[in-house]
Amino acid sequence: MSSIIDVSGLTKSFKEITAVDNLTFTVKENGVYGFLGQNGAGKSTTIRMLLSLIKPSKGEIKIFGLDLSTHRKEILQRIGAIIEKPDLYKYLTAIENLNLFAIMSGLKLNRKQLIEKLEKVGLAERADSKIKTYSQGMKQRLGIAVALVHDPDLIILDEPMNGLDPQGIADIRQLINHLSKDEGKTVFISSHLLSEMEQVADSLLIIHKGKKIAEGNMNELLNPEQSRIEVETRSAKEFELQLKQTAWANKIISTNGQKIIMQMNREEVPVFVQKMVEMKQDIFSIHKKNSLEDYFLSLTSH
Amino acid sequence: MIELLKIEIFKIFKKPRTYIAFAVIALIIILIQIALKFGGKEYVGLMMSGMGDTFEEVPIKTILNGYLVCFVILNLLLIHIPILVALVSGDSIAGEASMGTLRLLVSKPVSRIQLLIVKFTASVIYTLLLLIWVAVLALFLSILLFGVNWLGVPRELQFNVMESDDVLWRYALAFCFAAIGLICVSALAFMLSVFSDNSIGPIVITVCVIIVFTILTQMQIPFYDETIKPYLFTTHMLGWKGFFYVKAVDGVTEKGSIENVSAILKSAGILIAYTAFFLGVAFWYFKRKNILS
Repeated sequence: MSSIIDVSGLTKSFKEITAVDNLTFTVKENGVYGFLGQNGAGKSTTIRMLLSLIKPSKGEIKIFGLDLSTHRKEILQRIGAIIEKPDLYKYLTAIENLNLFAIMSGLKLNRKQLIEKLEKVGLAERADSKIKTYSQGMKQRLGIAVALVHDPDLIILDEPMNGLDPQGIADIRQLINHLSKDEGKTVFISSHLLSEMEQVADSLLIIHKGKKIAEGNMNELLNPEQSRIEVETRSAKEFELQLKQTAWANKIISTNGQKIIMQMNREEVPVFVQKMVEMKQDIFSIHKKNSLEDYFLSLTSH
Repeated sequence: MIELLKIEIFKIFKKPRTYIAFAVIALIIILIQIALKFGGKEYVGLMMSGMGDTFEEVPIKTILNGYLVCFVILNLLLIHIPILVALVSGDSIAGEASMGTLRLLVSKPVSRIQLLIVKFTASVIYTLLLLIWVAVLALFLSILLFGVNWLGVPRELQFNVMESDDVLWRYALAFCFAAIGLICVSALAFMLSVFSDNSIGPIVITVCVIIVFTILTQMQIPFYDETIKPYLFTTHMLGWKGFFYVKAVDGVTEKGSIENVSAILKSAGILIAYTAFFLGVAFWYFKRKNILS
């Protein structure tokens, strides 16, 4: 698989604040690439740099093997994007909005073709309604139709599930899967909804305070053979000090208050429990934590 | 590029606020025409009060014709139309930013410079249409309502008279000059629009600049005549009147003449220079602007 996005040493500073700090990552062709981070972690700034809305302070962005700073037009021709909210012209109808952005992407579509595009997102019947009469979910679907109108190879979605009801979220999830699996598109998606990301993403990039803290295949990161366990004890710090003097030291992921998170092979878990008993630790609870949310929080909560 | 321009014009004329300017102009012009139709005698009497008995024998109907009505309207309106121009030009980029559509536009395969050229051209087309609307109502409707005759233009110590067949070309050139002035205002509002993410700011600032500069232009203070007035674009926007100031020999006006062509050309040049400066700043800034809206 060749790479679609190659980012190296990407940095963006706003006066004294560094929003994105020396970020390097690669997005391979096809599949869904999840982009995670807390609010203010630098996700939107990164996405805006990928779309040439913001000029990087340092670093290089290559998309489809071309340098964004010198091949902006060719690159953007092949990208469809929703950036935060799908804001469109409220005083225009859906079909007028779609036509307008099709022309901006260099396409001339007739009404029948435009209706077909709207059909894909279930808005054909409301094609001639003004956007101001649309619900949030309908606006989001129209935003996706606008992003896909020129049949792009790379789709960048920044928080596409924001403000949607459960049905709307399920529709977007289904659409992302369809675009990736059936149409062979590459989808780069950022979202706060970790459980949704877990369902759609094949690979993940996690950033925190502008820096990359994890990157890889979803199965590698959330390896089911590897158990991530959270132990609630009287003092996690004290327990950590004791563990550091044993062979379990390299299994520690993080400590926070009374909780310590460890990662080990599934077979090692009962041995570790035995060890805790031998160490006379007061154990209040033990939880297996292998969801994306647990993984994400273990990386970003300290 | 033409397709992009069509989109911009389509967007401008799909917004209800665009038509406010056309409606306001129609309302003001028609009100002035009604006032002059029914109270024109007093107005002309006041206008001629300094002329002694030279025009005493001339019937009011001869003096108060379509050409004079158009001159009166332009004299009143050409200071205020810029405010209406600012409504659209000030909204051009900032309006997109506040709606959240600017980021969509800039992430399309169209260069930022191309985008600005198309947007400014659309603003200019709107401005010219507005001016054509003024011409239709102020000149042609007035001709229809009041007929045509010689045009008398009052000045400080004189009264310039032009024969009826010596007037229309002057109006044509005056409207062309007014276009240059309004495009300059449009460029100012457009430049401010590039700096802002909210369209109220650029519109209000443009209106304030026009009001302050107009007051300074019209202040009869000798100190300002040489220090400030020559540098204000609002001073030069009044240059259209120059087409109605004619040369006179022994009290007789010279047909087809313009008193001071070089002054008109100088004012036009200054307005064009201001326009180029405003646009230069707008292009320079927008090319580097981080789109955060």
